Amino acid sequence: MKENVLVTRGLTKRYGHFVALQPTDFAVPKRQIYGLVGKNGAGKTTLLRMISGQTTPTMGEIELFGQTGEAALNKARRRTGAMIEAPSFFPYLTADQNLEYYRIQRGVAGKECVRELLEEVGLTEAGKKKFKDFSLGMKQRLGLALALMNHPDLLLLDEPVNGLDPMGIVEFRNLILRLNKEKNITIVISSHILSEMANLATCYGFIDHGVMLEQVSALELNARCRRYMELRVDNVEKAAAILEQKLACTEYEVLPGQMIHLYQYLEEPSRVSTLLIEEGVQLSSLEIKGANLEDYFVQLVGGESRYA
Amino acid sequence: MLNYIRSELYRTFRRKYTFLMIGIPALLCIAANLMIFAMLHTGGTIHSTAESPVNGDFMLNMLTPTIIFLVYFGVFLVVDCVFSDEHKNQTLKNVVSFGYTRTQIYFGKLITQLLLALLTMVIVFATFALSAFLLLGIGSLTETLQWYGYQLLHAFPIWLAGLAIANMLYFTVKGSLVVPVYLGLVLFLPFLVLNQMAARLWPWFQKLLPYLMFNMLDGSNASGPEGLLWPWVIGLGWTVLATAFGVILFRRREIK
Repeated sequence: MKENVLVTRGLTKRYGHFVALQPTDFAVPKRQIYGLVGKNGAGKTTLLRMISGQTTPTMGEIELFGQTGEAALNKARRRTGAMIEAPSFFPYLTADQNLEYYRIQRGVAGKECVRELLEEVGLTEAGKKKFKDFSLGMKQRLGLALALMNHPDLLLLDEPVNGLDPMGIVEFRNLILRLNKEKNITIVISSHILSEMANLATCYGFIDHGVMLEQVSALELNARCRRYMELRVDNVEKAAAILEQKLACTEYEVLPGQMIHLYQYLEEPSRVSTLLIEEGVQLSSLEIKGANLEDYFVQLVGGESRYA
Repeated sequence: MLNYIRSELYRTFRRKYTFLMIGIPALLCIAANLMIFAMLHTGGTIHSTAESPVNGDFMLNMLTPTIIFLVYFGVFLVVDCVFSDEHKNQTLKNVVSFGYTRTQIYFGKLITQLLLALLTMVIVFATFALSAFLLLGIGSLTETLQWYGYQLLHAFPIWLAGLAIANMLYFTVKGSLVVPVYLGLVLFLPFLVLNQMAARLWPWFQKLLPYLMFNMLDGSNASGPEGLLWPWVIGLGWTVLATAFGVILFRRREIK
């Protein structure tokens, strides 16, 4: 059975009459990269703020590394690193000094860790620069450095690639993958950039209007979003036999309405259509279909996909 | 919490503001003594006589009550130095997300402010006394220092209360520019209101006036341990109340 590092049970947040997060049951398995997907105002940040202790839940429970209750949670949070919303530091201190301040505060031994962190996030040359003179991308990197400072077992990252240039996004992705694979760090990451999420996450939570709609592994999601060639023919048995004998197809489904979903030869639709026609099968339509993460998310929350 | 205090001291002493906050009052004290020194030695309007010596003792006696009142209203500078726009910079979230409780943060800042206040007090008052004695000479050293120390001991708990009230306001009010205004009202308004009420409405309020913090500052007419009792009772009482109130309010606060 998978061990969960983070579990919420009925976690709810209300502001007066407004419910920012409906009762949410949420579980993050160990060593996974959990992608939290949702529109602006969906409740992603609210959820992360409650987990990190910035906001008190209205109801419900958080279990972090098997610990519950306020005192135990505060202790467990020392094993986490968080970057929630915009990274915040003291503008009048340099990057070195800001990190050194937190190093002392967190009781992290060894002054060299500040230099190492700056190297890790690509800010070696900016150590003596004051935070107020940082670009947005540099601020994001410094925020990530702080989140990594105490060698966390769990990272909570809220929109971490905001403000990063394309190279920065690629470097960030590689860093996250390396942290997960080499250091076994469990990561919860929220992002609007679904294409990036698709490259990173090993499991997903889809949230909309404060409701956790679905939690699914990347494998399962890929199976649901798998691309296929949809063939509408006059004789499915004959068409299936031809595909098996002539093209050695094994991955296909016969569906009602004289329809075949073929999961092979997706790059060679003309070969498939030519063969069927030559063998006397009437082909009324051939389409390449399949959802990506964006389409899946749009369908889930309701809305028009650009592929519709 | 020790690590938290150490980090706060690290950050506080990397601000120019801190050194200005300590340095400017110290320099002003030296300047005041220098001015008197200059006036004595350039045929000015001040003359020192055997019956009325203008020396270090004189300066301490004359200016200490004023400095004590100025410190009372200036305590927010110490708090501001340490608190440092944490709401505006949104840096408290980094502390909370690491697992520090709000109570630890509150007391950590209060203790840091107290340490800074003590350091500032020692530097400023020592500079004042030393420059006075060096430039203007000493009359009766032991007596003067005893009196000086007594005045500081008399005022200290009231300053501490002012610090605690300022700390509470910085934690609970969002805009740090507004805090000095609120603080001024809290520290001075009761005196003003009661004074007016005593005069116009009900003389019974006159009995409360001596126990207001503002009126407790001046220790010129106090003496002995009994003279220190009420300032310490009132000062510590306000400190405990303000701190308790501040902790309760801060524990409920969302950290943005």
